[in-house]
Amino acid sequence: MSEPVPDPTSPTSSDPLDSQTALGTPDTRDTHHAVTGPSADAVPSPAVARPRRRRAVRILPAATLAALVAYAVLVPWWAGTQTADFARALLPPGPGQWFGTDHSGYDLFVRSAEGLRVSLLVALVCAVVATVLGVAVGAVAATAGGRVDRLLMRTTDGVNALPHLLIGVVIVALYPGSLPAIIASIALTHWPQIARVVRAEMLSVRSSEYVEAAYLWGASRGQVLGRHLLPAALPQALVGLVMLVPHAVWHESTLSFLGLGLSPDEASLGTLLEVARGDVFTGAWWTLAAPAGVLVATTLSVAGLTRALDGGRPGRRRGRGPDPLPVTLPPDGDTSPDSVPPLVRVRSLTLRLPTDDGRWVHAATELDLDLRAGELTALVGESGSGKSTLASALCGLSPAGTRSSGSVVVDGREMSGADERAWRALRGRTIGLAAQSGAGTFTPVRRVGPQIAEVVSALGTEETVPELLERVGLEADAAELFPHELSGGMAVRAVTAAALAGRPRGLLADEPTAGLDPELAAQVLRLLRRVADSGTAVLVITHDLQALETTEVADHMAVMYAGRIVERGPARRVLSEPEHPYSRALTAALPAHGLHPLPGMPPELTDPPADPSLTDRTGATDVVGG
Amino acid sequence: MSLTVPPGRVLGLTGPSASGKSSLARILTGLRPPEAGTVVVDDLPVSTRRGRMDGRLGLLHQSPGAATDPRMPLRRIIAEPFAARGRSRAAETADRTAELARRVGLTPDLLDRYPDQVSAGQLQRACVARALAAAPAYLVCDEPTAMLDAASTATVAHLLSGLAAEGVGVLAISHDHALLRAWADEVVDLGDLAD
Repeated sequence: MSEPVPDPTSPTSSDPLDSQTALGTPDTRDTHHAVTGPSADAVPSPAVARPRRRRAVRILPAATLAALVAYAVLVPWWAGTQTADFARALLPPGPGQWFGTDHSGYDLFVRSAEGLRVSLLVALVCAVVATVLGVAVGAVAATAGGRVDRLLMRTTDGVNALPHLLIGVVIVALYPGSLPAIIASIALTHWPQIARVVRAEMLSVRSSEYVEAAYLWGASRGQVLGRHLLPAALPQALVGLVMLVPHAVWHESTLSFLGLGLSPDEASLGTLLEVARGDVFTGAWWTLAAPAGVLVATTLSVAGLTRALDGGRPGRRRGRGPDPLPVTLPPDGDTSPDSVPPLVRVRSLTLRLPTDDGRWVHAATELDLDLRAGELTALVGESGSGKSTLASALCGLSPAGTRSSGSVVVDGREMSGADERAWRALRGRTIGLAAQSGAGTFTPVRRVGPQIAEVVSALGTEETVPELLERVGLEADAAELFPHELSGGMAVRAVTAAALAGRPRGLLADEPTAGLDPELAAQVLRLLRRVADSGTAVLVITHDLQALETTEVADHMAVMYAGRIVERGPARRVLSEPEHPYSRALTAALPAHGLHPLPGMPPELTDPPADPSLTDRTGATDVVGG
Repeated sequence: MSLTVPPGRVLGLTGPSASGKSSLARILTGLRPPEAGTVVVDDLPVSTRRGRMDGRLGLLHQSPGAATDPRMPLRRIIAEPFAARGRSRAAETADRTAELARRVGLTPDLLDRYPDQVSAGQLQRACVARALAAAPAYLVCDEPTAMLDAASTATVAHLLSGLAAEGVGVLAISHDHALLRAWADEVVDLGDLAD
């Protein structure tokens, strides 16, 4: 191999958040890893600016809003009561009066603060009243259902159809200058959106299985409402509330500007705008600019806050803590003396996934695996033993922030540390992945056939959709179905057809038999056997030992436990005479072998045992030996 | 069709996919009214009183992810039936929750996690613990192990057998003949029930 030795410690994905790798100069890397090569995937430094900007998006609106609130509260308090001083009327902005003065000689810096205070107070009360009203109507409609629901939702539609400003003008004209009238006119016209959102969210939760279960153990409607429906709907309502605040500020300002709102004694921003109308024509632009600027700044900051609330949820996984990887060297050269090199050769692959709380999931430790053309390898183990993480790594699809070491050679090319472009050249063409989610792999709104055709054209092969469907045992008219119309077995076949579209030389099938009944599971496994017989290297990741035993389709089998492969060998031998205690326990759990439960639970992958054996399983059940 | 679930036994009910097994589970538990006929539990028909069901029947769902509130940690999920019946104090509830968690093999550190932070097998154990907390006289299990691996399947099956040994009537609905043969005291086929 003439290409440079890739950095074994580079993550398989170049996530800019992975500061250590992305920012790492060669020096800092060397302090962590004794062995590094010339880095092929050096991320250009502008990429690191992205997370910082993202954080700014979240912090800036909140900081601006806090400054504005402080301005509205502190400045009037600090300035005290102002008196009109006509000697200082209409002074432009300057050192003595930052925002200038109006035609009565009031300092607009103070006047705008007073106006903002009134505006914010009115808007906040409006938003809270409207939200409470909306949540109440939505909750009653969703909980009561039937006729009450219909009546309330028609009322909601009716209120929503009324022109808000006109209603406001009518109400305020009836009670001129009255603060409660202004608040009522805004609150009473703005609850319908919130009621709709709350009802929709609650209806989806109400039909869930956990609410079903709650009714069964005797929960009342009130309890279901309080414990399940409200907690689900309130975050949405909160976003609605925040969005209502700037809207209400504008609404109230509009009414005041029209001269229908608050009197100049208790001026809001809108009143100030109205007062400024006459002065602007004499050239005193600042009388308009000061309140208008404050108004726009308030609206923008609240709108930014809403975005942060809506899209800025945590869940971005970022590892902190010390580097989890020991220094390991990928072995040089081929250690096995086989003449034909395997399509995929994994050596000492170690994968660490960051958790939210800064620890590392030891998803894979020192894995060795070979996938050869024409052979079907089965990777078995309990849920959470790291099987799917391995499949993702073999396609270069590890989650952001994953640390890896060891070697993954695909078709003679060392891929550990390879960048996205190198992986993209392999995906679909050299290695196809049939993902776990079945029908969820397809876009729900389009028919299956065209979606598979799209994969074919993207990969530029000669396959046709009818041929692919025939290969996986689907009728040609299955192409006309929508993903939700596929049964579980058909969905797996369709996903496999899409994975075969690029004529890959290797196929990874992640839990192809999950949720299928034994008959269908066996059919799917036999289909994968046929794929292997046509010369493809197939890896089947499954926890369905039963189906493997019944169908005897696997050539090789690897048993994975706590992120390590504890046993491997010819499938028939591993199934009939397992050597490792874990493999023995796993086969004994099969119904045909007596349904013996394993003791306790698998160890946590955040804190795995150094030497996996059955004795380290945590917890215990009363059923052991039962 | 007619079907009788005896107390203190695991009755297996099998049938091909899409043969109405899940609908039957909902009719049996009173969540959906039957088109004709009645469901009788210990000589009393299944009914609601002032909007509440009587809690004599429980249902264990196929997918633990769909059957648990994603906004609650496991500890609260297990303790929910206690809260709904509202008769025990906080300390007592905590004790009984810990006891149930220990019984199904959930370690204390798992109880503070949310459903998306545990595996399907661990979550289904929490659902079994929740079903134990509700203490139904009869528990209908709709494909309780379809989403689970072999090890978790064996554990859940044994937990439910233990429940039957305490006198609860367990109806295990599954398309997995091999599992039911190994697990249930008696297996009936949905196709043979029609009369």
